Amino acid sequence: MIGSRTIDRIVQISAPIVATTLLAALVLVAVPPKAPTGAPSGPVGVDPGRVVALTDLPNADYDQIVNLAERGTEERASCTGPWVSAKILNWACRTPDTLVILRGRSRSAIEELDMTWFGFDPSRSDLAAWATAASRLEERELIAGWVRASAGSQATTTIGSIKLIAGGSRGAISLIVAGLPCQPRPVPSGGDVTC
Amino acid sequence: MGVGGRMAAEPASGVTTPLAWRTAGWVLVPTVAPVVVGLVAPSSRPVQVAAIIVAVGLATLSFARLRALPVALFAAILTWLTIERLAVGAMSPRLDGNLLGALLAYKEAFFPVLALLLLPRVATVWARSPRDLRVLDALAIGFCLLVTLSALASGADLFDRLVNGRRLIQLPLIYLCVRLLSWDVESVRGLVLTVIVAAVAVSLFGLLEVSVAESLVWREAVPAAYFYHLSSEAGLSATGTDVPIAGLPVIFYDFTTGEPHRRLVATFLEPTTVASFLALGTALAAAWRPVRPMTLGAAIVIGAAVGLTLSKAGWAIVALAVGYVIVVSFVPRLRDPGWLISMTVTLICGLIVVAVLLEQAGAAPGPLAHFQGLQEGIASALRDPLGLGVGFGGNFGGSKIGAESTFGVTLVQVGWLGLVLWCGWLLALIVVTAIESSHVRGLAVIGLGLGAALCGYLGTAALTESAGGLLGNWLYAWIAAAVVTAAAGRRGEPAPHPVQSEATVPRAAVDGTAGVAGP
Repeated sequence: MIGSRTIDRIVQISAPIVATTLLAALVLVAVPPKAPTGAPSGPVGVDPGRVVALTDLPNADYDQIVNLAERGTEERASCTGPWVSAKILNWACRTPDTLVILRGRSRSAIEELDMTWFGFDPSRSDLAAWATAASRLEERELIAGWVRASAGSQATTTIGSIKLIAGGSRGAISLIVAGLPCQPRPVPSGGDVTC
Repeated sequence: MGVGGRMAAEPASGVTTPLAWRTAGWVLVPTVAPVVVGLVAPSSRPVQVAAIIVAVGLATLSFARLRALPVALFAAILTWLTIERLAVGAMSPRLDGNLLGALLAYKEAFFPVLALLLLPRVATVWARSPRDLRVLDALAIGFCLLVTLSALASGADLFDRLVNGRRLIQLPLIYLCVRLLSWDVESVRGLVLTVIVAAVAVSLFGLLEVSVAESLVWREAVPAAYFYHLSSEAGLSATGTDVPIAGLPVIFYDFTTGEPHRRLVATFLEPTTVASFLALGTALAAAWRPVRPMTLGAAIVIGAAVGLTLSKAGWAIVALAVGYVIVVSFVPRLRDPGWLISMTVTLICGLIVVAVLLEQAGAAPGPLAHFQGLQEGIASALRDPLGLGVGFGGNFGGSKIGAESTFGVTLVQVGWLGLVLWCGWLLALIVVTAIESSHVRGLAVIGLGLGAALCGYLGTAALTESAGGLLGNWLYAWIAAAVVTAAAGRRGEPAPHPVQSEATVPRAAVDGTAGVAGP
């Protein structure tokens, strides 16, 4: 005759199998399959195609932005990436006190810069140099002036084809510089409209 | 009543004695010392190093004075480890990366110092321990030796070896230290009550910061994103933890659904660490007997805070521990330790299956990283059964192999033997905790709740690297060691260290003048 202790042991051994099977069934029923969302992946090595390279957002060139910013800040940026997130490529460039995430559809189609300057005196930040590196020549002065005046506050503006959002927190002053979509304009070397 | 019980009972008497004031003073020393260093903020590197050495010296003095009062010693360590990041974060505008790194590294001296202070008691404890505890101790010592040998022989960077060696060794080392202290039932209950009070305080702070006071706390008083930036620069945070989202560190958010959701981080400035700490607090509050409205309320408040951390491991530990405590309160037959082992295996299998299914359904891409870490660890250990050496693998190692899984990281670094020893020690600790405490009035349900929380800790370690962190997990080993030591002494077996009654405690030991030179 099987004692209660033996029954306990049988249940203890079979519980992981039964519980895991039930849990699996529950998840399969409760969670319908859907397309993967845009969580960050590992670095990707393939550039999914180039589009017409320009110097400003939303079709700015990654290398050009980094080179211009490095000249403006007189600091070498250490860059990694790209990573895929929500079908967008992301690069991260760091200097000792600045972190810039560059986002775009390809290396030559950067659409947005998400920057954070770690410090407490916004007048010492490099944000203006990075913002102007991704903008048209004729708008750079306006953009630099707005960034210097607004860094560290909560403010938003649009200058030309670029939207600027200042924000962040004490010690981590942020600036988002995003190209407005579909701003038809001539391409310097001829060709099609950029968007 | 033992010395710890005396400490715990003293405030309730309403009489403030010079002894209580002196003890409270020594309890605060390990916390006040680094705060003073941070506030004075010396800019010269040699002065910074000297200041931290002085702080470690003061902490050592405090531990030496309090070692006869284990609850007070515990409170001294708990205070700094609970507010460390909040305090350093608040001071971060005054600090450079070096000093911030030194202040965060200051706690690393705590347990090695404690081990050295308690080393003379080893022979006594080993000789007098019951056999099951000796096996448990041997497993812990074996794992510590394996990690030490692997770290010495490893080809990894010295910093990586130190960081990973500490992450692997910390729980067994803390367990062994606490086994060398004197514990009785009253002092263990004082210990548990201290954890519950601390967990309630941390929970209330967390509930405030995550709801109404986010801007005031994290954007003004404590510049959290700046703190993480400095911490990352000092190499003390995992890569990428300083990326801010809307001015707050990315680590403050959960991305399981693909969208960012704010997590409760409380004084730990990190959700998984605080979840682990609070999950244990919930388990202990739920297991407190006799049931009181205050402890029940505490369990609810702490449990709510765990919920808001959005930590799946924290949820699992709470569900397992509280569920088990409730069940065994009505069905005593289920107190058999076999059920705890069965629950641990169920948890590991369940988590792996859910992670894989969620990933395959595309509903939550995050879990795959955790499962991949486990897979990489197994693959690595199949190639190198003895491991690659301490310092390789994981988020804090020279490569990312096995990252996001404590099982994976352990396999990568110390191979199959390391994983078997570590899991074997934890499983033995679960069983011994449940068995030793089961017949001790005042500890029985606490021991079962703690055993179930340890099941949750071990089970979730398969799919989270946070189980290797110190701040949220050190209490699991400390309290379990105290429970088994006190329960073994009460069971009729000789106590590992003779528990002294108030009458037999030398005056010098109580007022802290024994064993150290006077000021």
